[in-house]
Amino acid sequence: MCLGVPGRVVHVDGALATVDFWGVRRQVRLDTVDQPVVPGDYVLNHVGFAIRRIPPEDIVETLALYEQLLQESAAEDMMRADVEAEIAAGDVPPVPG
Amino acid sequence: MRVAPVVRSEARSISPLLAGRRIVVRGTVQGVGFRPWVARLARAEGVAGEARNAGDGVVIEAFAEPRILDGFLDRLAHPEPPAARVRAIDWEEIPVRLEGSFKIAITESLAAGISPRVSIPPDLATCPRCVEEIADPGNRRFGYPFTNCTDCGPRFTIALDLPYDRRTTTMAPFEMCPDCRREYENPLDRRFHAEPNACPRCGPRLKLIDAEGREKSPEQPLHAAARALEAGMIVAIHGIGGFHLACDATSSVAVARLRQRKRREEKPFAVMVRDLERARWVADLTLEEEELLLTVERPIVIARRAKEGALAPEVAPENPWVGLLLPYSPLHHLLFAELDRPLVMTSGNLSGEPLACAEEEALDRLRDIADLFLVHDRAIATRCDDSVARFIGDGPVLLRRSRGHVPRAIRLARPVATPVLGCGGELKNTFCIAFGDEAFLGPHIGDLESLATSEVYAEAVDRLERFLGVSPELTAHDLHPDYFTSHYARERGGPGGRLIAVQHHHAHVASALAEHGIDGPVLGLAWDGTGDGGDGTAWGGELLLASAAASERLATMRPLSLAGGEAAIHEPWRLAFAALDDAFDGAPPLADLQLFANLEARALVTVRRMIAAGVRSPRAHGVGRLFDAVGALLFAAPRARFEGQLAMRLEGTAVTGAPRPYPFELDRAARPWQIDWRPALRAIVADLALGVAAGTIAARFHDTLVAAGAAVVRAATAERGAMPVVLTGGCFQNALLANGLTAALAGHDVRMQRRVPPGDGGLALGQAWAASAIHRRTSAAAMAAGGA
Amino acid sequence: MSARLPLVPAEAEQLRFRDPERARALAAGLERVTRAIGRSPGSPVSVMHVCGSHEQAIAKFGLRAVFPRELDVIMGPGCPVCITDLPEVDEAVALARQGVRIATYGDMLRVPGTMQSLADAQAEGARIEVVYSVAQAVDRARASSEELVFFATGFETTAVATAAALVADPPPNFSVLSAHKYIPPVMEIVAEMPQTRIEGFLAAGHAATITGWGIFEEFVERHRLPVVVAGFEPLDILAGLLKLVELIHDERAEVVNAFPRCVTKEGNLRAQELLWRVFRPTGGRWRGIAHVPNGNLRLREEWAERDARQRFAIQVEELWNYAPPALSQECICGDIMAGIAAPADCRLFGRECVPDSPVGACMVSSEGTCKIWHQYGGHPDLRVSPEPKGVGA
Repeated sequence: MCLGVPGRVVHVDGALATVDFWGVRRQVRLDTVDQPVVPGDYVLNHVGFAIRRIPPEDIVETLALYEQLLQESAAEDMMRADVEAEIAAGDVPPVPG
Repeated sequence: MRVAPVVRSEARSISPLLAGRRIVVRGTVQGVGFRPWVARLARAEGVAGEARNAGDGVVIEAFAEPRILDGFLDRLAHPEPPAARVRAIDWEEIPVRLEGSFKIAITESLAAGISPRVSIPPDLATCPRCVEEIADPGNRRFGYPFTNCTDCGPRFTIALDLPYDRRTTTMAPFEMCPDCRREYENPLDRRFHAEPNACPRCGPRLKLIDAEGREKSPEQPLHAAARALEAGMIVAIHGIGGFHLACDATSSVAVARLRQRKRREEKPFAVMVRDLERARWVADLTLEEEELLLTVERPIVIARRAKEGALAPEVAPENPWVGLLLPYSPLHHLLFAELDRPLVMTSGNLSGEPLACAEEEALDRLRDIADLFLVHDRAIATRCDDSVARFIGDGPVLLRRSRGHVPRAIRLARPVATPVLGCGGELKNTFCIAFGDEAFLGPHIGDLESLATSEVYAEAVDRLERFLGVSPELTAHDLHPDYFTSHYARERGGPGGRLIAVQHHHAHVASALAEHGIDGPVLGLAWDGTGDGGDGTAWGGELLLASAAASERLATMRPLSLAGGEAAIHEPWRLAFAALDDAFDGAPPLADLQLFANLEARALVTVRRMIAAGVRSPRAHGVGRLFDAVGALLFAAPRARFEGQLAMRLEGTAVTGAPRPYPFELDRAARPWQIDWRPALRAIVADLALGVAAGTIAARFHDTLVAAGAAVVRAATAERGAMPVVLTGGCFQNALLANGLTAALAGHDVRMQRRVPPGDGGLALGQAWAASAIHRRTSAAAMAAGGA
Repeated sequence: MSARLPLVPAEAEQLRFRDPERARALAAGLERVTRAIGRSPGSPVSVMHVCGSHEQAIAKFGLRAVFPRELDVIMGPGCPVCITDLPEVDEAVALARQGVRIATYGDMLRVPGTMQSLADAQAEGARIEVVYSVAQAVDRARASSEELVFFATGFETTAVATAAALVADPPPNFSVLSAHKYIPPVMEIVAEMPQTRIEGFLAAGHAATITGWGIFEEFVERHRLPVVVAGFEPLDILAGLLKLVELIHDERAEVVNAFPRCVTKEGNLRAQELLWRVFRPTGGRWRGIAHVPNGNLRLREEWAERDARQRFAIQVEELWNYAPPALSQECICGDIMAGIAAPADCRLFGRECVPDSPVGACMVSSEGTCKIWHQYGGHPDLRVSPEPKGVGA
């Protein structure tokens, strides 16, 4: 779990953001990120907390590794399993819009 | 080092060009690299001749021009080998016998008529060069745990007899291989006549076994032992002076298990660390303490435990101090190379029993404590505990004088008329044989309450007598009739023997006199836990006007009742109760005191009755008991698990600051004078009610004792005149107390005991010195009475 | 010496995932520079990384087959689960056995304690709940008034989340048993260990997102060892290693950031402020390393109410009447954690110790070296494993 996982911010409500991880929506806390975050931004998420707002120019690069991993089977691949765990760290709320 | 002035012979040189001198050097000059150094010196100066060990010291026959021999003699007084000590050099002219080069001869037997002195050196910690060699993969002693040289290694603990030579040590069975023999015989080699010289091919071997004797990991016993320690196991390690029990000092589980099996509930364990850097993980060390750790005697140094340091709290529960030790044998160095963590290194014995020093003994007595045994085949001839030291004031104080110091003698200011054995005390025993102008303290024996320990005692006395070639007929012992040593003395006394009983605190003061070479009279503050006063009470808070042969009791502490006798020492709440009862005139305010909150009401009633009726409640004057009483109150600790536990805690808790003693009285109408601590106790109770911090109360309690001690010394000085003041007794192991009194008595000539323990470990020296003085006086009186 | 590939920030940005050309070029460069340092496979250049995800990537993508034989890339104490030692696991187990609800990250369930793991305690009826985030634990606390203790494990990046959760005023029945660890101090210890002879460090990219790379400057000064911050893609790792061996070759003790898209010099100041508001560093035991000064993170005095150690009397002594089982003596997790042995050196690896029945912590966690090596096909290393290290080796 040293690996943070990137996701796209869909909605922001105070310190709580709804983040889309390849179609799966989770809640991520924003108390720990050092820049203002708006919907459309991408954040790097670790155990349910955003640790960095990913600069737009880095987004594609950052996503590439994870996209590759997600093609693996979580049951067999540890890195994929870790990524799943990070995604699961958010709650499952009803999402507006 | 004190060197007697060189005595120059009157005889003139026989040959005008060359002279010959027979030089006898006495002191610690055997087994410390002295002869090889003499050989190198002789070569450098152009002196021909020979040097050999004799029972007395080293005898050198030197031939050269007179002025070169003069220079040679001067250099001899200041030997380079670090452990050599020259006590005296005597010489006489002899005929010139030209030799080609300087030789060192194999030891010859003793010349008749010269009484042997023990010149066996103490055991020396591994020197830096040997440490390098065992870590160097290119060296033939790489990884060899029995590496030593003329500057280091075991000496006293492997010596079987005099003179000190391989044949008379436990290394005798090991035949040196050609390489080792070459080193041993080459005067320029660092291992020249290093009696325990060995290498992996010809020397002792290490083995790891379990309690059944089955060998584990024959190729890598040390590595396996390190693994086991890491896994939390307890390993018995066959060391220099005996077995240690070792476990991981950072693991609560391991330490707790060791406590349980060794049956040692709370007494702190000594901890060995890899080096000074690791020592700082574990303790807040001053520069002086670091130096003390590095000395060649390698004592356990008592230092302040680091908060949030690496040690598991079980190592020294509720105790702000830790006893630290650096590696002193190649085995230790190699172990720490495999295992980078602090290790508990406590003596290999069940509490109360003597240190195990032979393999079978260890397997037998430690089988229920240790999981594994790291053993070897270099036998230990004499068991010898580690020494313990503390830095107090401006120098170290030996709290326990043992490995590294024994059997070095204490030089006496005057020779004793006849050899005398001082038997020592009951707890922390050592004995002492004084002979000529030297006093030889034996190794730490321990508490003589167990049968096994008392057997060790008799054996140890026998051995030292054999080494010295003397069996004293004069025996000094403590007044206490039930001490093991008193029984031993009486049995030994027999027909023809002379017994002298020396009061405990007089012996403490006499010990200080002997150590400092003072004749007296002195004012001796002898403060400890307990010692038979000979008047039915236990003394321990004494001011004695004393010389070696006699003492007058000028002042004492107001006594406490020990309700239940011994029980009061294990359950200091009883002492606290007695003190409060006294201080509050029979109406002690127990309700507000945490200490009494959880005690059974019945126990309190019983104790109250005992004290009121004076039944089974002997009176004790010991300052140590006051510490127990105040400590019990302050920390709400009804029990003490070991001697001095509460005193240590009090010292450790006390905050620094300007002295603010509590009030006390000095009753000079009483004979002897009495220090009345009752006002102080009342003030402490008041402070406790106010919620004053424990650190402050502890500090003020120390200040009070200092003020009281100083007051009584000043009063005595005013009445009896100025004289030196000695601080002695186990209470002066407390740095706060010792430093405080030394400062408060500035202007007086104050002496502390340092080279000899101020506690009961130094008692025997005082007994011997006092008995000798008494004997001289009574013999003189007898002679005068009988007419000449 | 022939031309090396310089690694300037602009080029770092152009790294393409799984670009075979690029990968080949980097591998060749790595080989060239390592050879130029002039070692033999018997005494290779040793570098250490301290991140489970780095080891996962290395093992998964078979990078050790690509590294030159004269380069030894060792995993150090970078698995937060594995380095949580017995005393802390015992505290959580003891609390659980005392009837207190415990919430914990899943990986911690099966880590062995002196007597039991949390999973064992759970089997005996203790209430242990697995969460993926401290925020979930807070939610569970909110759901009832019963005490809930969050067993907080993980390095400083994870500790940030715990700190944020505490600062956000969780319900009064929520408290934290902190077993968090702080990585930079352990690098100090490892740098001093004679057995390891580490010549450079690869630092974890996402942890450095929080701490910034500036945090390594003092370390580099003091120990004269280079540090390169690298990301997690195989090309990131190769590029990072190449930079590291270059620094070693040139004897330049510097910090280089090879992961600029996520790491800046100061890092995330807001997260750092949260972290140090709640935690303070203190000395402590890590599995395999007796004492790491400042290596543990504990709650500051002001948070005493939230500190499970202050809130509860944890009765660990009851767990200690227990002799260590014979097998655990053979377990060399400690050495593996300290980077002085590899899983292949362990007698039990792949035999008595497998993910389904782990003997040591390194086989329990997805970031443990042993589990990683076991998952990705055992020993991915092509060369003979080095001799177990002893005195002077």
